[in-house]
Amino acid sequence: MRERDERAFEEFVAHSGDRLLRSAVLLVGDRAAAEDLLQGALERTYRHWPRVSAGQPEAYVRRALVNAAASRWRRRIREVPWEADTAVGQPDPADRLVQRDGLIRALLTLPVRQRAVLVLRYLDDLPEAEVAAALGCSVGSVKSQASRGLARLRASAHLDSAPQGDGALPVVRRSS
Amino acid sequence: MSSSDVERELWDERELRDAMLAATAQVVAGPDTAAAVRARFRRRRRARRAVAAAVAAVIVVAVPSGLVLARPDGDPVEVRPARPAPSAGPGSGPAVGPVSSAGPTIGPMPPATPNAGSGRADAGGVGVTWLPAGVTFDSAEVGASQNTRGALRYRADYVGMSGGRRSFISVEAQWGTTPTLAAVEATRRAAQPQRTFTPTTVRGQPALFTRMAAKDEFSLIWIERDGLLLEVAGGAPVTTDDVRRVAVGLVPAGPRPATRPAVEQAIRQALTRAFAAGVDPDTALAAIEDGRSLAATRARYLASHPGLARTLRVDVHAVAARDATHAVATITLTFDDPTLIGPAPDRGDPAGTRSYDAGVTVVRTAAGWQVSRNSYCGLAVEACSPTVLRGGSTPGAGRSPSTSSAR
Repeated sequence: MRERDERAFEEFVAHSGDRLLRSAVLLVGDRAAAEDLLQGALERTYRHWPRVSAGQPEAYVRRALVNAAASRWRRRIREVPWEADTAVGQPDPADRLVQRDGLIRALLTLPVRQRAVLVLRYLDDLPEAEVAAALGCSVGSVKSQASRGLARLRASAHLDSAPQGDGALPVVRRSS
Repeated sequence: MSSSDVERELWDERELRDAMLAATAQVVAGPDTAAAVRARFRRRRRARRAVAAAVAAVIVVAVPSGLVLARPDGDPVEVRPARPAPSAGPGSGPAVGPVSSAGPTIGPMPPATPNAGSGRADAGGVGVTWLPAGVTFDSAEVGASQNTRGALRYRADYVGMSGGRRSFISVEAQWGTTPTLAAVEATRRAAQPQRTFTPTTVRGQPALFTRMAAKDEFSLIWIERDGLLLEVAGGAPVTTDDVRRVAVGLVPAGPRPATRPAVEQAIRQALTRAFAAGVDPDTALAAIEDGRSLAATRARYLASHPGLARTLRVDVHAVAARDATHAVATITLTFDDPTLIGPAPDRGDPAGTRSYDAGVTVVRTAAGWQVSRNSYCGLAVEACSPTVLRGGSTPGAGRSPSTSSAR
């Protein structure tokens, strides 16, 4: 690869590496695996850099990430059951962390492509069209997957927190 | 959609966004990521070239009449020029042996290519000698079986593009106690009711041909010998014939990949120290990745559950290295503590002594081999803070008996 391309690749990684790694972590739920996944995707990008850099390299890497995540070992992580709700009211910061942690755990139980839609749409703030391009599907499919994903998270009871008209904070699940 | 529905959806989106941002706030790519990618690219390019050169040499020698390779740890393996495989469907008749030049010819087949340039020719010690044209090694993984106590599953994925569609072949070798085919079928049926199962034979062994029609995916599963369950899966545009041909071309002559004895001993010691009752706290925490940060919560957890603290026993079944710094182990945790409630145990009485089987990731850090923080926290949630997802390394594949019923 020419010196100019090498520099451009380095700048690209420096500019988008953190963002891509965060997406990868939420795609596979595992920091080490996410780093490996990202390196694999970047390696493919590097191999085809002159062609990829002419288009949208970040979208290319995202697509490689999602495909690699989908073909990864299909682990079935058995989720820890939460206890019944025992408290309602204003959560303290620790409660909020517990709730968010539960939400992330629930997110990791979604099918990979559904999870990818939510990650790309809400973590990366990509427009639906760009999510569709990254996943190789239609915008309609992105809409329906996002809606189903949110519904499943809601059904998992980690998103049962819609405001009650007066802006009350969410019901909190306590683990002990 | 009513305005309250819209409001609810927007709220949910915000909650999800906040949770994702919070969970990944500490995640940053290292400054040497680009250099690591470049080094990885060069390593793989060297490996690809070496494999291609070796395969080319073998083809030159072997194609005219076949070649017998003597393996140091198994029977001689005959490698013959590839020919179209017999039909993969369940009605393909009697057992199919190694690829033979006398095999029946069926419809159009992709060019027969050895597993050249894949950079990875085996799945858990099982050699892969044939792949459809254009399909190359993508990734390999090893993990704990979810259904067979102590067993390890090695999987290699091979991918390619055909007609603009992504194709895949996966080869999986499960080493350990071998379930019956009937048990395998029952487990799979329960997990995937829409998958169909048909008896067939592979390599002279009774086998299952499974198909998921909706996804156009299929697989062959059989017990190669006691202690080794094999599965080859693929999805369109890969054909059932391709899958069978990969299956009959496997070379499962060797043993399960071994872990160096010193490494295995260190890993077993870390697992025992991290989980077993009676280990002093400093020693236990030193056996857990970032264990020091768990000191207070772990102490509270054990104090709340004296039965667990007194009786917890860990049995380590098998250890397999993923790479130089990661390994996976299959373990069983056994304890007697009525204050803990959780999923139904794999064995024993929920109100008395019970056991849970689990897979655990072990990582090599500057302090030596340690149970990964996420694995530990996946099995003992209450011993960890809710920020476990941040900065952790790998999740456990087990289930936790850690939910408390104590008030």
